[in-house]
This record gives sequence, C-alpha cells and structure tokens, in this order.
Amino acid sequence: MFTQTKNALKRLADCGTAEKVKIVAIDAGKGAERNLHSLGLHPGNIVSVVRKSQMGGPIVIEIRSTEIAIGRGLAKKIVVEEA
Amino acid sequence: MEFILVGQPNSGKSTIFNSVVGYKSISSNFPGVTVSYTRGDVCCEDEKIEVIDIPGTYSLQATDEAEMEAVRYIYDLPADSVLVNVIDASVLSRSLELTLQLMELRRPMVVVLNMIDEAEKKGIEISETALAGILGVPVVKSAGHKGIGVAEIFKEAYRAGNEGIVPEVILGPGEIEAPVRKLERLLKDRGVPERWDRRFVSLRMMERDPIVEAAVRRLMGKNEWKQLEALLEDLGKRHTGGSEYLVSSYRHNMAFTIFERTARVRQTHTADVRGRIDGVLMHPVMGFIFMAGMLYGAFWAISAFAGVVDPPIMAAFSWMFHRTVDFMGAGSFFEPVAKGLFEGLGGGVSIALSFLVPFFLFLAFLEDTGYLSRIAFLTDNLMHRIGLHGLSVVPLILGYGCNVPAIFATRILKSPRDRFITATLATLVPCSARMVIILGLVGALFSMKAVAVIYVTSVLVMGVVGKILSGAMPAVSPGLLMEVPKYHIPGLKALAGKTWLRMKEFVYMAIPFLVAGSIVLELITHYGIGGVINRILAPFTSGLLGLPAAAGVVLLFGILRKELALLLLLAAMGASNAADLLRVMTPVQVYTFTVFASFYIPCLATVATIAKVFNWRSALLISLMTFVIAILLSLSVRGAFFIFQ
Repeated sequence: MFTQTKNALKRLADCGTAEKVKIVAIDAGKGAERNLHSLGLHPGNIVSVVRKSQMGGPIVIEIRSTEIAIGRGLAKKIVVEEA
Repeated sequence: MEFILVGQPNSGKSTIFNSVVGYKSISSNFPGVTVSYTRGDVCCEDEKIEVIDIPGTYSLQATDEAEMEAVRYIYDLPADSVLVNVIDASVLSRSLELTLQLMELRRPMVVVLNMIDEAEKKGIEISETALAGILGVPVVKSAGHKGIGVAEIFKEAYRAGNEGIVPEVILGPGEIEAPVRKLERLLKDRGVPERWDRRFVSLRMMERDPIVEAAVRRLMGKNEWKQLEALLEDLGKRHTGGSEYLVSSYRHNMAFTIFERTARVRQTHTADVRGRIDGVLMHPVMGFIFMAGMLYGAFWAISAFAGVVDPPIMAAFSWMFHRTVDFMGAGSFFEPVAKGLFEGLGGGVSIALSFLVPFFLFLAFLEDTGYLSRIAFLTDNLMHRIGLHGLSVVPLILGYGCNVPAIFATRILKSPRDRFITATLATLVPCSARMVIILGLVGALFSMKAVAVIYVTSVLVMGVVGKILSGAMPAVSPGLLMEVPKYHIPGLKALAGKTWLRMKEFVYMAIPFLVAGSIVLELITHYGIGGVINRILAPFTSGLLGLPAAAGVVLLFGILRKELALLLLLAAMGASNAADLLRVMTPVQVYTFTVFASFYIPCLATVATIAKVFNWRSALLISLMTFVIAILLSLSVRGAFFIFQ
C-alpha cells in the first residue's frame, strides 16, 4: 500500500513540531489501521505536526483543520515523507 | 415513520436531538458520549414521529462498543425510517466518508450541515445546493446549539420519508465496480437479506464486515458461500492492504473530491487563539500545574459546598421520619421500616445534591469546553506506564463522583481489556460517599494531611493494581487516538441536561440499594440480630483488623451504602459525633476503619453495574480483589501505627 515516494522515509513519531509531512503507509495491524482510517487518516494525506509532548507522550497532528492526538506507539507505526 | 440521527462523534447530533425533544441525551464536546441510544418524539404536520439518537460512529466499521451499538441499529433499520445524517460542517471531508457509507443503504435520507456557524468562522463556505445535487438528498444547514435550522431538518426529513427520496448511487472506478458486479451475481437475490440493498451488501462484503458476512452466510448454501469466499480472498490477494482497503481508500478520495467541489476555504485567525490556549493547557509542565490546581480547587469547592448543603437535607428527612412515626405510632414494625426508608432516601438525596450535582456539573463543564480531551492528552504518558492510555483517565475522574457512571463510561474505550482494567481501577477511586467517611472521620479527627495520605495511597494502589493487571493481561493497547476538539463555550442548558443524565444513573442504580439496605439494617437492629452478626465476624474485625467487634455490622452493611458506614459507626459505638468517637476508639482503629471502609468491596450498586456492563464473574473478581487490597492496607495502617508510636 505504499504510494509513490521520492523523499526519505521516516516515522511520524520522529517528526518535529510544525513539520508538514505526507503519510506514506500505516505499518500497523488491521485494527489500528481501521481506527486511523475512521478518523480520516489515509496514505497520501498531508498532515502537519501541531504539538509534541515530552518523554514519549502523544503527538497532535492537524489534518484538514481537525486536530488529532495520536499515542507515541501508534505514531511510530505511521510512515511519512516530507511534503 | 421514524427519524434516526446518525453522525460521527462530536457532530452535534445529541444537541439537535435535545433541542427538539428536551433533555434526554448526553451531548458534550467529547467524542463518544452517547453510549446507548435515546428516543424522543417530534411533531411534523400533526403527526407524532419518533426520533432516535444513536451513538456517534466514524464509519460503519465499528471500532468500539458504542460504535457497535450504532452500527447494529443502522443495519437493522425499521422499514419506514429516515436517516438524518448530522455532519460537523467544519470537518466536511472526513464526515462525508460516513455519509457515503450511509448512502449505500439506499434509504430515505437527509444530510445536516451542523455547526455551520463554527465552519464559517473557520472560513469554510459550503454550497448546500451543490452538495444536494451530488448526493441526491436534501441538505440542511444548522447550528444546533443555537436552535438554528433545527425545524427545517425535520421538515425535510418528513418530506424525504413521504416522497421516498433516496440517495444517488455514486459509482466507483472499474477496480471497485467489477468485483461488486461479480459479487452481486453470486449473491443472487437470496443471498441478500430483505432489509438490505444488494450493492450495499457487496461493498460491505468487500470491506469484510463481519455482521454482513454472517448474515449472508446464513442465507446461502455451503457451495455458494465457498464461491463467494474464494472471490473475496482472491480480491484480497490482488490488492495490497486487502479489498477493504481498496473500498475505504476509494471512499476517502471520493469524500475529498466532493468536498473540493462543494466547499471553499479562506484563511482565518481562529486557529491562532486555539493554538495559544493549547500552548499552555497542553504544555508538559504548565498543563500539569493547571490541571492539578483546577482539580484540587474543584475538590475543595465541592466539599465546602457539601458542608453547607448536607445538614439541612439530613434534618429535613429526619423531620419527615419523626412526623411519620408520630402518625403511625412508635414501636411498631413500621418504625424501623420508616426509619430505614427515610434514612436511605435522605442519604441518597444528600449525596446526590451536595456532592454529585456540583461534581457532575463541573465535569460537564470540562467536557463541553473541550478540556477533558486535553486531560486525556496530558495523562496519556502516565497511563501508559500502567498499560492503559489517556482516554482511561475519563472514567477514573468520573469515579470521584460516583463509581456507577464511571463503570458505564468505560464503554468509550476500544479494547475489552482496557475496559476491564479501567473499570477495576475505577472501583478503587474514593467516590463521594467514601469522601464523606474519609472527611468525616480522618478529616474531622486528625488533619487534612492524613486525608491527603489516603487519597495519595489510593492513586498508588491504582498504579500498582493497573501494573499487575496489565502485566497479567499482556496485549498491545491500541494506544491513544482521539480528536482534540475545538474549544466551546458550554451552554447552561446543555450542562444541566448532562448532569441530570449522569444523576439518573445514580438515582436508578444506587438509590434503590441505599433504601433497601437501610431498611434491612434497621430491621436487624430492631430485632437485635446485630449482636449475632458481630460475634460471627469478630475473628475478622477484632482479630485481624483490630477494630471493635461492633464494627462488624457496620462494615457488612457498608457494602449497601458506603456513606452510611460513618453514621452507623457512630450509632454502633454509642458516640454522638465524630469527636466523641475517640472516647471509645483509638486513633489507629479510626484510621484502620476509614481505610478499610474506603477500599473494601465497592458498594452493591457498583457491583451490580459491573455485572451489567461486564458480567457477574468480573463483578465477583473485582469485589474479591478490593477486599484483599483493603485487608492489606488496613494491616499496613496497623503496622505503621505500631512502628511510629
């Protein structure tokens, strides 16, 4: 389910605040993937990191003017590239 | 005819429902609050029509209990129902994904662009005529919290129902339509349950929907089913991510295309304000300071409020009891019954008015402003250390008011394991009834520091129990995933409505137990059976815990009514008030009693609620566990007093 990529891949959890990235793949089980889809997160979407909490806490991203908090574990499973 | 309000969480369905039928449904600025459905009536052209508010769901692919409830309802729609799909207009693109799924049902439908005022503030302009043209159903703009457009919604729903206005079929690309046609051929007519559309069934099968698969399987012969399965499996292999991904990503793209064709977005500045507030409230240091300060302030304010409100209520019920006894004559069988009745009712009403109402109002305020989601965000990290995640903190906070709604609230969690662990921890939260004991004994006789020790201990115990349980039930918790809502200024009516709904859970689940418990207790005292019970329990109460034997009955009946344990203890020990108690009990006994009474077995109403939400086995297991914890803690108290004195 990888979309076309040109840039270096990394994980959403490793992105810095205010960084704008494109979701390339969701490297998690069916359940987690489904949960992400239901909140409108799919490969190909452009999201920006709004907020990161310290010490492995959740990360808040913005997609089409909705903010979504994602636990760090889940954010590690989302593969992104620079948008 | 019947109107069904369907929408994604936080889309404002419940607000619309409440504004037409009065307060029956919980609405809040927190995703996932309607956990079961609510009914009400609305009048359309002199016809009374039932409106049903079902839980919010992001898609027909349910991911938790509440969503499951919604999906089950949608799959089993009555024949003459009209779907009222409520959308948060400010997140149109995402919301349309559910709309597209609902359209596949081919039922009369109306689309409501709710919170249109918020969307316009965010610079989003939507053309409802363009949208109606694409979807093929009426589209209504509304602002439910202001009552704008609400009448129009039901007028259009009535029209859609009468004229049978069903949505357009939006065809997908060949890679979707070709397998759909193949599936339709295999399903024939008999593979499609009567209430469903054939194309809908095919698409749901491609998404590997377990409910639809099971329903189709029941209707089909073994060989036919095998053919179907083979087709689906082949399809799954040909597409990375499976056929379900093929369908969901197509729908996702379609939603975005419709959004682009019907909406325009201008840049605005509201995001800056939100960003600045969140910069403080979600800050790893300042956020915690704010949260701790606010929770402490609330705790302090509520106990001060209770101190003022509680005595007159108790006095009123005592007055009613005396009048009743005067009327019926003292000394009869009715005297203990009347005493139990009025004490039970008085205790329940007093807890309800002096603690629960302010507490639930406060919590409703936190929910509706959107702050509760920020708490879940802040505590996510801490909760991970005990194998849970941020959302679990919500039922736990509710538990400080009453454990009963806390257990119900665990339904917002997705995994059964998280729900069970959170429910177990919630029973360890000192609810307002236990607060009465803690403040009335330890607070009144020792110091607030000693009270704080009990509260801190309870948090530590929750941590240890959480750690042990998540170790015993190893599973990867799905982790935090939630929408962080915009800030709202909550409406008074909405706050009051929600507080009442939570109170209802207390009134219906807890008060009957309180009254029944009090009556039984009074009869036991009246007929002098208490002494026998005390003697039977003595090896435990005096032997193990070092309490006076008279505490036996008190603790036994404390299971029925926790806050009663305080009054019972005073009565059993012949003390007129808490200070008087030290005449007959040592400080270590008072402290041990308080700790034991706070932790052992959640009250019977809570046990019954656990049995209802989970099962009796869980209820017994949790009760047994809290009992063991209470013994261990009580022995630690004895040990600590022994060492330090």
